[in-house]
Amino acid sequence: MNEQIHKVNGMLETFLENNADARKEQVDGEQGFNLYYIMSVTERKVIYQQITDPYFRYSKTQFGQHIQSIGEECPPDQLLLRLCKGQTVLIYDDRVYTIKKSLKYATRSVSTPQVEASIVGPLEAFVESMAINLNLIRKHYQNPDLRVVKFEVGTTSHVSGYLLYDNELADKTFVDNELAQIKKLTIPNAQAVSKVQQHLPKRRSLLFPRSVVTERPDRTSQALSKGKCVYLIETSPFASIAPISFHDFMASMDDSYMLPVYSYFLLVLRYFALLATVILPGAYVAFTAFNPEVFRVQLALSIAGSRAGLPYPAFLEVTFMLVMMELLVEASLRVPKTIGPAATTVGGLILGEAASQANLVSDIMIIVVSAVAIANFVIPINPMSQTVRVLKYLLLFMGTVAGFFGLTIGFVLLVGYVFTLHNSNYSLVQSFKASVSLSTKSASAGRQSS
Amino acid sequence: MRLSRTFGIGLCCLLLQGCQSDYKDIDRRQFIVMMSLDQADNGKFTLALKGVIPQLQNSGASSSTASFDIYKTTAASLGQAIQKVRQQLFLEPDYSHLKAVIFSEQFAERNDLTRYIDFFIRRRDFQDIAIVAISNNAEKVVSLHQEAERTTGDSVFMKFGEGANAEYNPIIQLQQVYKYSLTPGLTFYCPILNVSDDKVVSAGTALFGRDNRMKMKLTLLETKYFNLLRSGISRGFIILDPVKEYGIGIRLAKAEFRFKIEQDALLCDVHVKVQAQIEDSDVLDFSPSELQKLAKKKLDSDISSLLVKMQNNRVDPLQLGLKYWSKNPVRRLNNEWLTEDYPEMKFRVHSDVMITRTGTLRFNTDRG
Amino acid sequence: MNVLFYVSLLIYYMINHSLLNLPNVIDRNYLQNGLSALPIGLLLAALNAWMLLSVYNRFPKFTMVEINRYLCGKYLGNFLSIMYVALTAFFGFFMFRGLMEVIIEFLMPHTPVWFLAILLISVPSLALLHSDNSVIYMTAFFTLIAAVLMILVFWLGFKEIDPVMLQGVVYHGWKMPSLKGIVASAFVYGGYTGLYVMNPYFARTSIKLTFLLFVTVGLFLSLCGTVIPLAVWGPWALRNLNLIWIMTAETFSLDLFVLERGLFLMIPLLLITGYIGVFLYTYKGYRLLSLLMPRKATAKVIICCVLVSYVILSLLVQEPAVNYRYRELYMVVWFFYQNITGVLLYVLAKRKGRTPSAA
Repeated sequence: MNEQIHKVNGMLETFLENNADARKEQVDGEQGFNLYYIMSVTERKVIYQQITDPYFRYSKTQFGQHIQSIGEECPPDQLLLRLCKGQTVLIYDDRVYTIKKSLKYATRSVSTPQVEASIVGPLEAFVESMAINLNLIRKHYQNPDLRVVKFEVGTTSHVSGYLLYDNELADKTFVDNELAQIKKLTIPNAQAVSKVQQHLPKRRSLLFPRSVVTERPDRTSQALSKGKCVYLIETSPFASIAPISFHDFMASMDDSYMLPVYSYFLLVLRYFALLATVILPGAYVAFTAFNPEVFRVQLALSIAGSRAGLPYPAFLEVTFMLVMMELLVEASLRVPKTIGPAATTVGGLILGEAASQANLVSDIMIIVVSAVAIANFVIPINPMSQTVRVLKYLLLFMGTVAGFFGLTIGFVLLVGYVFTLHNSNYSLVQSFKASVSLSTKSASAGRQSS
Repeated sequence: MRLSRTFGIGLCCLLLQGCQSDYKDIDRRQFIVMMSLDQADNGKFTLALKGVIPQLQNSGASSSTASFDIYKTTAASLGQAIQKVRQQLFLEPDYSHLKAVIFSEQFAERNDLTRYIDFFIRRRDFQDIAIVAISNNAEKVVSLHQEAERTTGDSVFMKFGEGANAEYNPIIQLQQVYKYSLTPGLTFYCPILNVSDDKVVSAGTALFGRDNRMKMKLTLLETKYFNLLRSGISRGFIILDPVKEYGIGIRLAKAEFRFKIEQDALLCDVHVKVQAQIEDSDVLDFSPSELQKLAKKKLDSDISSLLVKMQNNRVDPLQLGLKYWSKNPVRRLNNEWLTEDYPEMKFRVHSDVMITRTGTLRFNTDRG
Repeated sequence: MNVLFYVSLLIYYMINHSLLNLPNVIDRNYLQNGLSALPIGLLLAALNAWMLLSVYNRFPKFTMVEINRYLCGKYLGNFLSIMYVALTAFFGFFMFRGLMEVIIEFLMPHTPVWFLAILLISVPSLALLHSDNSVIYMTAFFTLIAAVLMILVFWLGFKEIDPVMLQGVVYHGWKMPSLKGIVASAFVYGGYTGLYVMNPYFARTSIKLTFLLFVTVGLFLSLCGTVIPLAVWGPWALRNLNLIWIMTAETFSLDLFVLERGLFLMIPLLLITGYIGVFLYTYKGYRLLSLLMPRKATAKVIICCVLVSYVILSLLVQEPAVNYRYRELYMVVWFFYQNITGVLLYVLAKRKGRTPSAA
């Protein structure tokens, strides 16, 4: 027994030497009562109130019981990891205890949503703290059937996360499947919930997100009540929801708060925007360079006029403008907030006025590109919006290679591909209200059994 | 991995097609909006194409202010002519916006038009809905620059309902000419457009015989009645007094044909219904009922003389043969209609004029 | 919910065949055979559908392969299934080549045909990635698009109809029908053959609903599909035209956003129905084969070979008339196959039903 304590002591001493913010506190040298903790992730007050103070006030038996109740005995191999997780290691009576309560992470308070704005919805967003996030979810979803499963991801970073689901509503096989997948996760470092989510399916999806990432507790609550699973990660102010249907990417939370006609109107608008932003660049090339007979004569002539004298073919013109637009978007996203407006103003000026004045792009092209850019921002969920940003280049390529025919082929292939995507046995395009019998597994299982 | 390999192979295949493709930028195409065919010597014809020069976005690029260019050539067949005219072009000719084909009168009188129409139907790049018209000088219509044109050539193709909605223009498209010339027992018509005072002016209707050659012309007045009988008109004017030229305005006019066998002869009842309104104040001396009678008399006589005129020339642009066929399950449609039944047919015109409005702004008291 | 997908499958077949197949047969021979094939075709198709549906409803968890095996024994059953797969592959080619014709003529006249064929083959090869339910969803999605376009096209068609010609066509249309006409008009209703693969999803298909769709949507579409071109062009001019619906749409002038020619509403409709047609036929063939074959990989290899042969054959068969002739012939074969198996299965199912072992 003493042998082991000795070993543990040695381990802790080495840790102390290597980490400047680790502390050792000798409470009572005679009894060998030592505390070890990392100053930067622990609350001194808790240590004082819960450990040091009772030690001097309680009798020895009382204190023993007290320690038993607030701490837990720890196997030596877990010791350093727990120390790093903000727990206090306590060596008392030749035993090693760890005390969770002392953990203290720096966090910010609940603020308004930054990514998913809403007009009439609640103005709370998740933050990088599990306590607050769970608090928010429990506030929005007060149901005894809510299950919270804790897990740990990252083979090197050891970040803790939670899987939440409604026990009554969620599909059990799906949840079990997800939990099994989580156990198998081998990514070394995961700081964001979307990264964890990416690695959950058997084959990592390359283009289309398989989960909705949200910072809104109300969306999370809605998802739970539809029987979906919600993932939270300690380090991420976002929750991720699975399984999802494609429609979830196009739905904003306001849809359920606003009057039905208005929200349907918005939905139609968003799908139109999706279509426009994906197809327009390809269609511009396909129609101007391959099939100008599609346009009515007035439009054909005005495009021909605006393109006259341009030094390069239409597909280069589109690519050039699109790349400029992407740069502008990316720049205004990444530059410090203080010079952000300047970047967009300069870019907008150059792209809009000067390029057409210098006969580098046609006026109509500028309209097309700005329509594409604006339509892109209409898509409410950011990961989908990013996917769509890439998709339009695929269709642009197809339109350049084979005109309208290529464009339709590209569209059908794209849609066909989206339709093949599955998360476990939920199709990405499946309406969630559909009976589960439509999922591949159950039907084919039924076939084999008969 | 597998995905990227397939993608790579696909990309190589796509690039293999190289330069042999339909890619041609819109600014490297010469859009042709109008075409004319004039009779030339020794069986040839003169082809004239109106190629649009689009309005440039930056005036610095070119100093030309012309809005179109004319390409002319002479050939004996349309295919040859289209090939020959390429010698003059420096951009790829694009016929997909050819909106009007104009034949000269002499050309239409001497040639079977179907031969030429067939060319347009066969070629994929010509619209089948281009307008067909006849002119005394087709080339002049094509090479005319009318000041008020918004788009080059719309002085012709906007005339037929897309822009102006006039009583004098019986619209006909390439596909209709094709259809009527292939259907037995039918003949077709074309509007006549002439140039006067730097404007394209409607000048009546040309009627074609069964051999698809132009056979006769209708005057403007007859064209109005022809339009009324053919499809009805929604705007127009009936002149009641030949000297002072006052009359009543037409709000809506329609005709209906009914066929009967009476005393072993085919009888065609033509029912004309006109809703009219008072426009001129010259007619204030008459009561509406007097005007109705006057108009009815005028319509009856004018329409029957038009019908008889067409019958005597053995042209059937009103497609009475088709109308008769469509109501008679036992009848077959054939060319004998024009030579046997149609010339024997009798007409009886009943017109029915209703003056529906006497003017909103002022009353016109009925003295009768 | 599943009913909706079944309906969309039926409607997809109706749109596809009433625009692409039926007018070619009926309209060109209108002067000889008239329109009387349409109701006769409907009756025969309804009879066949009734027999097959009652058999398939009896075995709600079986596909065609298992039903054939169970009812006809191993050898005859497998033979029937394989024959159906072969028929599917053939019709896939006819659709493929027919689609190529439109693309070559109207979209890409100067691009090499082999390039177009390779690009086009990418759509049916997507079928190898799909599963039954994703195919159902995809069909429903594209049927919706096709239906919207088709309503637009028909609406334009109604505006362009020559009423005199329409009256004449309807009055004179009742003559002795030809076998080919009957077969082609029965082909329009062939959507229920989707059950050969999808039966486990749709089973207990409502026969009443099927008939209701036949009589309402199916008859309406096949009438519109044949009568509108006849009334627009007239039977005489139509005898000389290929690609009847395309030429009909070419006569529509419209005023819609940037478009002024009806042709460019028709071409997307034709492309979409064509793509999904080839895709569905390939998928059906692939799925049935993978049920027939001991290993799934074999089916994949066979389908790949079939697709490659599509490309090669479409380079060899350049004349559209040949395609049409063989397609008409094919439909006769299909029709006989369909009716013979229908009667056979129905009788066998009745007999086996009486023996207690089949419960």
